Amino acid sequence: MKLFLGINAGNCALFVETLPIAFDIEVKGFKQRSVDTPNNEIVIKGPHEAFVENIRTNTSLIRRIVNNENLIIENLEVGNVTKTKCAVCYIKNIANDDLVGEVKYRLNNLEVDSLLSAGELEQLIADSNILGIPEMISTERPDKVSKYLLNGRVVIIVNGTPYGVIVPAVLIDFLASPEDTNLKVNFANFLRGLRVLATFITLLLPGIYVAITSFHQEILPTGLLYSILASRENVPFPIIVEILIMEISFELIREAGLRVPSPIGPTIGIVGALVLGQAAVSAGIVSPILIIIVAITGIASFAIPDFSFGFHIRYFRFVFVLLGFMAGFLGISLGLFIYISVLCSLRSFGVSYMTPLAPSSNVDGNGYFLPPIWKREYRASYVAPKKAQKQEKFSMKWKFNSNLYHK
Amino acid sequence: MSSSKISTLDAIMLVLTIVVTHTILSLPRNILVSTDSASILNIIYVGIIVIFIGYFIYRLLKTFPSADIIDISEYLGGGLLKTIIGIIFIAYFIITSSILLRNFCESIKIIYYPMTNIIYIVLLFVVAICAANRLDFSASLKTNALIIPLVLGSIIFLFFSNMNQFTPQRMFPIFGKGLLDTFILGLTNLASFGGIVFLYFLPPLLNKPEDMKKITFISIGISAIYLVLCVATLLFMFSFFLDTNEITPLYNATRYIEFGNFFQRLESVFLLIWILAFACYLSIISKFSMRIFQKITNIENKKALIDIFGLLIFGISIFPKNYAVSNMFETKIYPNLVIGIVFVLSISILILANLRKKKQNNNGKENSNA
Amino acid sequence: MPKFLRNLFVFILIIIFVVAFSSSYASLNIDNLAYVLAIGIDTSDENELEVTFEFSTTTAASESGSTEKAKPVINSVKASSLTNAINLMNSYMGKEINMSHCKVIIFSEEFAYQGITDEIYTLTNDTQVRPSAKIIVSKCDAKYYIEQTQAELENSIYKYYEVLTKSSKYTGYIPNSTIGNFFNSSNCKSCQPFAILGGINQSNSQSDSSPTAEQDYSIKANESSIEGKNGTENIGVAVFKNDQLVGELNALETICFLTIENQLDRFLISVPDPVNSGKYLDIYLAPYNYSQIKVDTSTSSPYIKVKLTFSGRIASMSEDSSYLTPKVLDSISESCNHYLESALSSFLYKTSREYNSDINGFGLDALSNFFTVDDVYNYHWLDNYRNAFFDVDIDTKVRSSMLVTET
Repeated sequence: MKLFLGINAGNCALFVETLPIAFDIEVKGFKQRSVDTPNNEIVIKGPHEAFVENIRTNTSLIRRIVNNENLIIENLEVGNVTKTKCAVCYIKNIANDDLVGEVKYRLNNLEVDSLLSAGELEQLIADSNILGIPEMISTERPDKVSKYLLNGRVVIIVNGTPYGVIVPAVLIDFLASPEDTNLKVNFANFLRGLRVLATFITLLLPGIYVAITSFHQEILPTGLLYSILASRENVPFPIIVEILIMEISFELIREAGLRVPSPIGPTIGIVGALVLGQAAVSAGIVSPILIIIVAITGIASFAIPDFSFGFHIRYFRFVFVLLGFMAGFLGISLGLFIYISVLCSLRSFGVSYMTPLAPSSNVDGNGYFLPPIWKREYRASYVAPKKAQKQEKFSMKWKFNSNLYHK
Repeated sequence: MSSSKISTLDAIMLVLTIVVTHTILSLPRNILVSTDSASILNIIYVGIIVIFIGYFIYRLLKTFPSADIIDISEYLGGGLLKTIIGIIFIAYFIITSSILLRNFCESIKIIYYPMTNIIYIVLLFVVAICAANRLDFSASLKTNALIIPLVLGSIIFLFFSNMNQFTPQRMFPIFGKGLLDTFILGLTNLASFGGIVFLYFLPPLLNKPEDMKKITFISIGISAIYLVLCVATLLFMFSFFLDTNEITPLYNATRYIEFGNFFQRLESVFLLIWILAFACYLSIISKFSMRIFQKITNIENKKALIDIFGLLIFGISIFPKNYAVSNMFETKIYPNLVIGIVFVLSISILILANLRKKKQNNNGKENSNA
Repeated sequence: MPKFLRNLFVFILIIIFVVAFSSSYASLNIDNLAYVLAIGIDTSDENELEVTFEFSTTTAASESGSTEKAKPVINSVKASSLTNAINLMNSYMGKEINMSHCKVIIFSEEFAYQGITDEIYTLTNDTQVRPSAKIIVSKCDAKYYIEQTQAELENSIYKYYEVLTKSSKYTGYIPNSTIGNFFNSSNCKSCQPFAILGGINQSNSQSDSSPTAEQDYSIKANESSIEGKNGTENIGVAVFKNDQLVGELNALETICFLTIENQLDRFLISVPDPVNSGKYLDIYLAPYNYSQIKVDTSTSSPYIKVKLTFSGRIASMSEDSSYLTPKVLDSISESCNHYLESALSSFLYKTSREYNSDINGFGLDALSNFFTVDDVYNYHWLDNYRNAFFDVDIDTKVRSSMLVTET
């Protein structure tokens, strides 16, 4: 019976005389995309290889990088109709057994007819879906996947999607780029700091602008106040309408730019950003200051490396605009309070989402900012790896080998 | 179960929550009024006393591992005492937090929203904490552990950025209103350390119960330093003989911060942080109240309680007729409540329970000997 | 259905809040406010106040980038109290008056002699007025003062008001008096408030043909010979006793006042040239240490010891002078000491004997002599200051001239 399934799937069955069993041999070769450069997670210093749709190619990409017999790739099938192949990858002597067990448990207990992509799987196995905060990273880069595997995480690959899903993920993982470790620490940490700033700007700047101009003009220095007043002199709309018009048209331009056939893509950007913005200002529909605010918010939102997290933040800036309009700073800070509380209550596969901030842990290896490379001795403790240490205390033996010194 | 355990740092921040929220309101002024120029001396003196009291509490609690004051009172006096103590604490928590909320909202109204009815400002807070309380117990504590350091930072920033306005001579005359007022009557400033009420509830919550001693000392120490900073800022900046009463004196101090012509209107940022801290405080207080309530009534369904407690806080906070009444509560009645409940009542329960335990142990020993 | 009900409930709540806060929104919105930059308070007949408000139009930046000067708008109103005046002005302006950007508050001399407590208290009670607003006592009518004040270098008048006292750091002619400090020290039992002295510049026709150095330093507002487009000048200190104006200090006395307060970075004095008698040397002095003040309160006439140290550079240069010999430098230093000692003593005795107003706050330094508040109270510092004795000790070290050392 199993053999029939195999032959249906295009395999070859081998019968050998005198043997009471048959071999189900995978000989099929489908047309498939070849390994290409990553489209959405571009780095400058780092490998330029991306996952493809075929699960075998993907696992081989990972194995090529990890290159160790302890890398376990377990195959599972999800979906009563499609029987989509999924691979759970982990490194046996690093990843926590409970974590691996939990991932397999969730995958094995999915009663769905079909599973078509990693994006669907993410939603199916997430702990909770409160506020749409992403709880696992999906990436198209095999090097990023391998990096997380080596730090004790578990990766799920779904056949048919060029993405690997890394679990568990905490907040700071969404602000880290695979390039960071390839750079010198100073620059990597500068970039990481910049990304935190970008997150706050994206989330709060439009809301704070609305709050300040509607309720708290006394916070503005007089010069800035007069600049804003001067720029708003001919604008007929109240600020909330103005900002909603611009933010929504920004989202429209973004969405349209994504959907149009690629040759016209840049045109949309030019028409949308330059022509529309310039025309709106000279027609006196919106004020130049507001265009600056929207533009900074937009640029900052694209500095967030993770797509789904950036999406989440962009979406919630509208909530903060509304709160700022509703009750100024009071609304914003209460909104922020609820938002932080939600973040604190989240768990991704049992790992608290706000680690290492709350519950705070200043164990080596947990921080958001990177230590110098010779100091990265430990794996993050919140995923409870079996092997905590990943390099010797003196990793640069050539430099600090005491035996050599004394000779 | 493990999700509701809290780490040592969370616990320290928890104890600080109450002192932080009180200093935002009129606490520093009350200290100044009661002890005048000797306030700093008084706070240090009271702080040392509280550290001893804290150690005493720690020793008393140690006899009952992972039991909070409610459990201990059950051990001492059975279900009746447990219910009474539980109700006293719930009433204490809810009433003080509601009145504080009212006072805080009054100041926000005056500063920010002159035309809005106070009811809506209170309601906004209540809605926010009801929403936050639907999350699990540790969420608020973690949020608190994130926000309280911000507040502490803001006070340190306030202190140092106002330094050029300071007149340190104002800490003289050194004994303020006299020795009696500073060291004997000044003991009422024990009420400033009302935050140690959470020590009674910590033992069953802790991740590492052995850190209890550390938590007690560090949290009281930080509270004392924090209070000294707040009081020093006010004392050095403003004439201490000032008979005028200003709402939220620390807010007033933030208005003096300026770095050049551009960076000088930072008070809104401070208020933003303080609102965050206040929301944390309310959510923690109501969560603790609900916890006690669950404990004494064994109600399983928590969801229903959230809105009831929210409404209770809302109701009590709009109850006072005007600011004068609620302010009177905060400045006159509240300190006595703290001293009565936190210091006298709880400690006496602990002492009695300890005596009983000792007696039982002796009896047990005698029995086993016999 | 409960889900629907919950959403409805949330929706209703949002509507309630938007409506509830909309009244505050309407009254605090950046577009609906008129920003006062200066308030002038005069007496008028029948015990009424005449309050003058100065607003400014926005500087509209044109397309080409050039900006035109913002025109100040000056309106005044007579009313029984300050708040009533604001109220009347609201109805006239159509926009609500907001004082959170009020830079200066001007009292006419006449008004200040009657006492300004009520107005100061009212302004401090107002949440909008910032403690950093400057207080000026004008020798002429406040209204006339505001009308005459013009920004010469700045585009808008608010910028002029912001930099008004900046020069005091190196000229020492203007004290930095803000409403916050004024309120604070008028409530203080051991110090007294002061204000900036302002006036109209009218070139004195009756003055002598050749102004002498003494005259340069004895000028006050209203008396200098500055000519310019800006019709006002601010030189000197208005001394208050409790809340009433009691006297004025001229330029040199202001320098003395500010040196004791440690508020000067550098200042210029003209001392008699010890080498060429009859001539004067201009010397830049910079405080070397903080002023040391000792107050003895054993008798009812406080004995106040002031010690100041300066280091100096010679600014003026004439032919045939040699400033590098120690002997000459010493004698110049000596001359400085004499000059400053006599200036300071006469300044201090003026504040105590003539005005009986402890604007320097020596009372604060005396506090450490007491143990309890009652002792302080019983000493009646503010009354006893009249009997104070001063001992001024100046230690000046003139180092050299600047670039040219010998001629």
